[in-house]
Amino acid sequence: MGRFTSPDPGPFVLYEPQSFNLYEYALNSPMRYGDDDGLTAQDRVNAANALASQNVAYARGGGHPGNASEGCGLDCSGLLYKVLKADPDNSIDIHGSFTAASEAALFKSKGQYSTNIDTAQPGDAIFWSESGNVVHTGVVVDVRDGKVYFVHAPRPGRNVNRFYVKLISPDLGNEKFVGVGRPIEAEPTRGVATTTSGNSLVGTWQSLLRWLNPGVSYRARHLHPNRIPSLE
Amino acid sequence: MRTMMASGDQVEFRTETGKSAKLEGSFFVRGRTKPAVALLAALLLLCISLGCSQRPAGLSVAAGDDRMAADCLDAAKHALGTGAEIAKCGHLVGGLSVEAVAFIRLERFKDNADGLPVKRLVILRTADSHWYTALDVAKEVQNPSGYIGIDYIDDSEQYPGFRAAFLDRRADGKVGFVLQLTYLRQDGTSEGLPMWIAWNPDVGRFQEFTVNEEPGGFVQEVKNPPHIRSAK
Repeated sequence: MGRFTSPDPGPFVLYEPQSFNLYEYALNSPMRYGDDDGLTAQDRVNAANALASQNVAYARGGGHPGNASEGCGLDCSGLLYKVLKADPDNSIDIHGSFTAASEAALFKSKGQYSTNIDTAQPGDAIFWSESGNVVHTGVVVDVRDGKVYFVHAPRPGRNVNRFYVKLISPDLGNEKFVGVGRPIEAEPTRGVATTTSGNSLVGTWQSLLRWLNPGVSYRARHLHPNRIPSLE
Repeated sequence: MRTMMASGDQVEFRTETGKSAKLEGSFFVRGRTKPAVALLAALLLLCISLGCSQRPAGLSVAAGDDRMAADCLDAAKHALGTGAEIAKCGHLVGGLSVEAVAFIRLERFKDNADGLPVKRLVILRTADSHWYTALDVAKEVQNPSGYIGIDYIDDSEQYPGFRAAFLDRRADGKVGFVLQLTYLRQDGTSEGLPMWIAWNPDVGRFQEFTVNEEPGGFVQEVKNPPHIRSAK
């Protein structure tokens, strides 16, 4: 029998009153919804873990649309692109040519970005730099025991794999940790109340919460039907 | 002018262009390099005239540091040809054996803070008064037991070489010689994460060393890696 070890960090959604209950699980409907880690980035985590389990080879430019290497492997920025595509309700729309550096810039402008490794959560993008330039990225899949586990495409000759860095030393050798990025989940279209000006009440509520506590992210809950929940 | 400075058991050859840089042994050579180059060339010619290129390159460990440096260069040229340069020479991993790091430079790229651009690199090591190749960096990285740092061999990739850097501390903080290798793209920039290679005293081989994967530590060689993307 599982039990909660900490309050649900959110997000709290106005049109889903149960989300304000810090000790509910999957809207109290575990047979209908899954919410494995109490957060809303499970699509990205699942996509990253799937890539790590499939012996996907490294390919320079792999995963980039239109690139000759598309479909035969991934590089680090291509992996992040694929993972973000698996979660269609996010705010990071990557198109055209891209690199880990341009992806980090997108998170800064269209998502949430923190230079504090302690804010890393499953589903986040994580970035490292070399000589001041962002050169590597991965997708956080777990945070526990003082470690941040991430899936990435390491280098030529290595398959997509799961690595970790310690919270107290998040660098990868000479590549310096620079930040974690988190998409803002798009607001669901079903049953969203709007104000007379057309703004979503959910968005208004999130804006209010962000204004009250700018260091915390608030997003719309994104649940997945028919998933068997797993409790500790 | 040639000066020598005692410094443990490492030697540095300083050239005017800063090219060949370090030769680790037990003294420093500063100032103009032409006399030093001429001396080494004379030694090489003497060696060739005596027919020593026909025998396995031997080593006289007790003959002194300058003899050690000459032996390293001799062994390097024996292994890689006349274009060989020495990066390090000395007791790099402890013990009585001598190690020489020799390389063929990729002339079209410049040295930078991330290391030397190399087309080929070998670590030569003495055993029973003879040199053997303890590590061979060509298209792939190999030691006498297998391939290092790869899951597969990608026959389609055409990287011109590696950027090689020499560290004096492993990622776990232990002091010791570490070779850092990063794949080079055709434009001279780096591709993917580096691999770190250190001496494993338990098995007596250079192996990949990682602290970012589970289990961490030294990684066993791959005996027969699969080939992918091979030309039909």
